[in-house]
Amino acid sequence: MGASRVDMKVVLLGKEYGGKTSLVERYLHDRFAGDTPYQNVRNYNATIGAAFGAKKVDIGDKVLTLGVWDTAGSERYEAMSRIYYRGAKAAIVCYDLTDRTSFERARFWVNELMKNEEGCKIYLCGTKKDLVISDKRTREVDYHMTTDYAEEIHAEVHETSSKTGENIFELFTKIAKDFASNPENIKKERDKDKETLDLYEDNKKKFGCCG
Amino acid sequence: MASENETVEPPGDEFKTLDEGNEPGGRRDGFLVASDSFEDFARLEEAKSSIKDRHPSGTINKIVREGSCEDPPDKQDEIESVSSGIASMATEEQNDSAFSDNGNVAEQVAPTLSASIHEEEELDEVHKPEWKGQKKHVFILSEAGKPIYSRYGAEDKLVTIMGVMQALVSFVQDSKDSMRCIISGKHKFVFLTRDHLLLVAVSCTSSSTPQLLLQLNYVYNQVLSVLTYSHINKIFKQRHNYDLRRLLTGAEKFFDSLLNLMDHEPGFLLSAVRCLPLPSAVRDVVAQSIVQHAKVKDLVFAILIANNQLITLVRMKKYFLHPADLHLIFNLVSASESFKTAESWTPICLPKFDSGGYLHAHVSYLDDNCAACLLLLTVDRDMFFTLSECKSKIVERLHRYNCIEAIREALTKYTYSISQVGIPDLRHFMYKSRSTAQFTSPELESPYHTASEQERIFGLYQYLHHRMHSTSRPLKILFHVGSYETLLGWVTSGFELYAVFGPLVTKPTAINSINKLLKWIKKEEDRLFILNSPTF
Amino acid sequence: MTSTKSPVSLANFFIFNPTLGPREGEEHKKILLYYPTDVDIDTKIKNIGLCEAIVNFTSTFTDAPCEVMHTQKRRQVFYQAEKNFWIVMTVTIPISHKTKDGVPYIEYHEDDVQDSVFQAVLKQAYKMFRFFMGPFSDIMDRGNVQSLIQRLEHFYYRYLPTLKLDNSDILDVFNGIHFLPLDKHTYLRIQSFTNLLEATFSQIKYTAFLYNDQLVWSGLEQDDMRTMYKYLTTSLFPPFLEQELQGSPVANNDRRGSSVATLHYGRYINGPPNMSDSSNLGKVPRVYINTESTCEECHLVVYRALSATVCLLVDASYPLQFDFYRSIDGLVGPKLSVLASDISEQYVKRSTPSTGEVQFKYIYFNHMNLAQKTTVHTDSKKSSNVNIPADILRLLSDINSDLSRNVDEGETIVKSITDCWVVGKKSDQREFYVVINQKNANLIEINEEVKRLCATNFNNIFFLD
Repeated sequence: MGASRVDMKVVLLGKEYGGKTSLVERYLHDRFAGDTPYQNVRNYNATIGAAFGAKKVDIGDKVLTLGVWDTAGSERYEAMSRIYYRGAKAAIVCYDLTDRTSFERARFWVNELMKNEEGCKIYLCGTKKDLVISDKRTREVDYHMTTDYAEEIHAEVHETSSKTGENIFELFTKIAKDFASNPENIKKERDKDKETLDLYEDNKKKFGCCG
Repeated sequence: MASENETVEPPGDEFKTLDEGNEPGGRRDGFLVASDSFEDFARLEEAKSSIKDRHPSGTINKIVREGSCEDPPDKQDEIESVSSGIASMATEEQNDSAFSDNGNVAEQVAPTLSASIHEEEELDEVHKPEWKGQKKHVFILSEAGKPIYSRYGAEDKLVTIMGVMQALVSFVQDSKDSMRCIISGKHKFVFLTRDHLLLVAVSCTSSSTPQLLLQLNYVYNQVLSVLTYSHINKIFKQRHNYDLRRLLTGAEKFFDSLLNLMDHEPGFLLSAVRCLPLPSAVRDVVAQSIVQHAKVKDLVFAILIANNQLITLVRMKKYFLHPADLHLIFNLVSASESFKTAESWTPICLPKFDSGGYLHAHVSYLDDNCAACLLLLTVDRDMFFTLSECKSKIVERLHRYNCIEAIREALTKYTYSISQVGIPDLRHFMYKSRSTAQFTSPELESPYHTASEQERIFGLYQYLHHRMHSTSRPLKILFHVGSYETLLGWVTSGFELYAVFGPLVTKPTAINSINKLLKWIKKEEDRLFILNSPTF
Repeated sequence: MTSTKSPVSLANFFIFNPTLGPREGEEHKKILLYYPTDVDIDTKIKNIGLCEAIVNFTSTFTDAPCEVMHTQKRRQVFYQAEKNFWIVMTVTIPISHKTKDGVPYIEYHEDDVQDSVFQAVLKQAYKMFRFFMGPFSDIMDRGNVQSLIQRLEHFYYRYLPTLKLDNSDILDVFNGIHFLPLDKHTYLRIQSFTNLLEATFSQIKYTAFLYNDQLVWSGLEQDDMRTMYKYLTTSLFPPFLEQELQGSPVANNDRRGSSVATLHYGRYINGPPNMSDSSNLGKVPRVYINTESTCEECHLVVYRALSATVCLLVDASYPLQFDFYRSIDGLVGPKLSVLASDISEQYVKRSTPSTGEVQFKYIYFNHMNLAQKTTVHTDSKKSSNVNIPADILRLLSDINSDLSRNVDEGETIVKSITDCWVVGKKSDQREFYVVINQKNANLIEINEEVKRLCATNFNNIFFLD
């Protein structure tokens, strides 16, 4: 399947080692690299630039193809991040529930998006929930603080675990539904280019992803 | 003996009559920049003042200007936003430097260095025997002495020792001189100063000082490849004390992997690349498929590689790739697990091509079951989907012509066995075609099948190469009989050959074998080397 | 446009002991010697501080002592001569002025300065001091820091200006001795002569016998002989010979008051210049030998007749008086004169046949007995008289340092960029280097050539393949 046949662009942003790649891996391939849970001293799996993957999501009345951009968290890519989030309809801004500073970075990305990408809906996503469940003391990011902030910026909060899969699929489905329920999106897409829109087509291929 | 002598054409005169480009694997119009990094490097050292030479920036802009009239990438914007980011961090950085800013660090530090090393570091890595016992340490630090990278041990536990390195270097600089190396027994301490950065190798391997300098230069190029020269320059001009580690998070693996690669991969030493041995018909189809389906404006290079070997390279007319840049690409791919799982879009700077900016690379494996990785490099950062489609079409065509199967087949073996060459006295060899900057070499087999023996044989090759390529006393031939093997090095204008025989081989036999080897390589050149240079 | 290369020269030479000024503000106390002298104290302290820092830095990674530092413009050689006593020598890298695209620049010829050569030169400088003054620590123990400083200054201020760094080469690495091979009969006569000498004068602990610059017989330890040989051939003999050349050697028969006037050519090189003037005893140096073990102190009396020289190492506790010199002269003078002329007959016979044109030049060194031969150098004294190109000569040191690092036995044959062949062989503690300038020869022809050469000149030495 060509990567260009994408109905909706979703971008993941957030501090390095914040669990973005694990989240995408769980969603696209339903797998989790258990050997090196989330992080190691020298992260040999850190994303370089950005990785792209696509997945069809069935939201009841129709099937949408999500193009998911997993971006590298490193600061060196900050200057180029616009390449990746430009035109995104949804941004999953990730932070590590066990790392207070990662939420500071999340605020940075939110500002960045609000400044440059008006049409992009923001989803705050706390990661590594399994860790804070198994040991409450590891939580460094307060849930209510995040919901307060979300309210302020008209976003919503999802706390997820890529290890257990908790809330992952729900998050993406919610993103797809929100997108589809916004008539403006549908209209724009249809006007823009017939080619890139298969919202109303019957999808023979049940499932597909690039990679 | 006499009869053998008749048929032997000893090195020295045999290939003199050959035209340039006629040696096995030779060609006039390669796609790689045929240059010897050693000589290159030596020249750079001489003309140190001319920074322009070292950072021939602007190639990317030139392509952008030539290739498209619309929408030039707003590189200026990117850099601006980076620097403003740095400015905002400035406040947190105020007081955390180990050394002061005033440039005259050595004066303050040197007299008390002896005391400081031993007193302050109870908890440091330097006291661990396994750290001390490493054969090749590599350190990167900023001009201000801030740790950026250490091959072994955590950088933040090496603040003092790196501070000492910086102090030694700047002390020597104070007298308008520059530090090259220190030798203690088997240990060499080699220093490379580049704009804003200091790179240090501490090695007790058989690498010579120029070879270590070359390796440090590769490491420096790796830094540039991640950040670009312009970016580094900008950052340090604004903040002398900047902690570059924050921009390199996640990139440590490139340095680790590059250093591991250089410890056994001869391509770096030879400044040449190894090609995957492949029937030329297959290689031609691969190249055609790329030319056909990736004829996209602003696409500069399309490179197909597998296991650190080149399968094919298609380039934009007028532009060539330097082997040193290709080595960085090899390293990028072999160090990145993440490319295997997803199609990626990543910025990469190729310092020899243009150290001033990024190319954008579409990186993907041909197929889940094939270790061949395709890189499409462009100057247009918005081309991901176009290239993604090109890739699909290329893969489709490769499948149709069974090329993927052929590549997979070729990859089942790393390269080829020396027994295929059919010269019983010859244990191993490396042959570099100078005009194409490509080399070929069989697998290391018994007696060189253990890690320690492989390290030793690589050391012998380093010795041979070092002597033959000495900047002031280069050699044409070196024949060495040692206790465990006999070595032959032979450098002509067209090729470089390094061969290993058993210790008891006679000179006539060795030379006879070499002549047979050259004939074999000539016969196999279509398979071992890429002899054409397709363009878009 | 290429200008000529500047020579390698001595930038500085200093000796320090870090334990002598361990506290801050006392750094100057560490300095025992600093040459050149016209350097301000801050610079001295700074340079020594840098050396200390380097020594400490390298010790973080290895227990092996720091040996050399390369910078673009200089080469600094370190030698811990005795515990905590570091000698550091810095030499300049030769430069030449060049232009590229009309822009002048300076090229530094780093490869012209070879570590092994200058490490050998530095070690020699220490050994020479120790030969005449004794070990640093002994001097400190006997006296104090000041007395060590005085001796160091006294010795090195004279010694250092005589160093010919630009002519240093592989011979400094070998630091060998030219031997004079003699027929058995003559050799035994010389041995019985020295035996007689030592038996007659019990104060004489050791003797050595030389003919011209070549050693014939020595009773000293090899390492002491090596240092003494260096001293004799580079420092004591040349001015003496110069002086002799002024007037031809006169038979020493002018002995008023002597009843037995024997005609002979003997005279002291460093003892009383005139056997009829008892007031002038000359200047005989004290030397220290076997310093690693018993450390014996001796007078070094050197006596010569015609081209033959005998060195007498006399127990230092024995006061040298004119009577002693006279008795030696009486015994040695006539016998040595006869021996000298007998040797010279053999010597002339031997050296004539090798005048035919030679395509090759060689250097030979035997680690067992320190024997050294060279046809690369036109004389055995250190001078610029070398008959192969400088780069080829350096190639010999390259091969030498490779062979000494890697193997006990080995052979290296190289063809230089100028088509000159160099062969280095090492086996059974012997090293042999041949330079063959036959542009059109190939490896096998060169191999045959070397085989022939070994067979004729060194037949029992190498096992040939």
